[in-house]
Amino acid sequence: MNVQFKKGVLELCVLALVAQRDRYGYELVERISRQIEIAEGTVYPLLRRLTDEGYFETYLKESTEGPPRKYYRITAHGRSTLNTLRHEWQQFATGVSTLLNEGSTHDEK
Amino acid sequence: MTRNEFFAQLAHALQQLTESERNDILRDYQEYFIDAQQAGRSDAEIIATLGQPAQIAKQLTANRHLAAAKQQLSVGSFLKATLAVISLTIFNVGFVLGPLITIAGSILALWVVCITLVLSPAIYGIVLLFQIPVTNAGDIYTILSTYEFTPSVQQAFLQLGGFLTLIAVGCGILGCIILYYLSRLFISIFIKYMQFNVSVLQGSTQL
Repeated sequence: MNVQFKKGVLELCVLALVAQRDRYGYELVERISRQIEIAEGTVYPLLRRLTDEGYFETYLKESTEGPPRKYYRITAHGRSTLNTLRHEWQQFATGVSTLLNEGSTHDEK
Repeated sequence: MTRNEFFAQLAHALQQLTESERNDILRDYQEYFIDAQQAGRSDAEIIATLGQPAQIAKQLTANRHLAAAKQQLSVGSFLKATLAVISLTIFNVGFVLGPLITIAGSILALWVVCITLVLSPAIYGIVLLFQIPVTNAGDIYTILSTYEFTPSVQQAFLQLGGFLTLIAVGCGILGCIILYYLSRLFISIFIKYMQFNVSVLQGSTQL
């Protein structure tokens, strides 16, 4: 898949997952790679960038399995960006599937 | 690469950043290693999915400079960010592709020379058979006849030419063998370079 495109989608997925509830890095990597193939190395720099840009806040929380984990919490700014991106994505996805369906009905004729 | 080597390289590559930020990044990756290990993955697997420390560092440094450039739009911060992004993508294209094309061109030229050497008896034969002019003076027979040699000497010259082409074939074959290995080496390096480029492009989260 187009790399630049995938990157945009990855950003949207990370925003959506953190909006559901606070999450830590590996959890996000695991959740996303269960659904789509990603270069895992890109997730941490992305999280850092989204935090820098004020979409996320971070805090450390003790974990039962080891040292404390860094959790990401979405900010109001992050949530409004997510809503915009989600809307754009849905329009885009609808547009593409409409075009694809037009193509298949055309082929059948 | 072991886990310790990974962290040593990453810490070294992040020297441009402030100490607190560098420690924070290292902490993040340590957390990742611990979590991935608990999920049953070996250090080697984790490192393979994360990529080269130098690349991670480049990407993080580029992000940092971009963020700084956005916050305070000064010429300095803009230049820094531009340089960081360029180093992420175009740098290796411009600085590696040039020598690469030169080397590829040289290898191709050497192939042409060696194949010509191997084919030289056939070329010699064709030149003799069709009396193709080799210089302004005309074909080989005409040139030889201008020197008033006896027919047996002329014959000897033609045979000498034939022997020389056989030596050329030997050199040509030897050259081809060397070139074969040289080309393979070059191609494998080229593929590594392409993979490196792809990983660089995949690594840049924001351009």
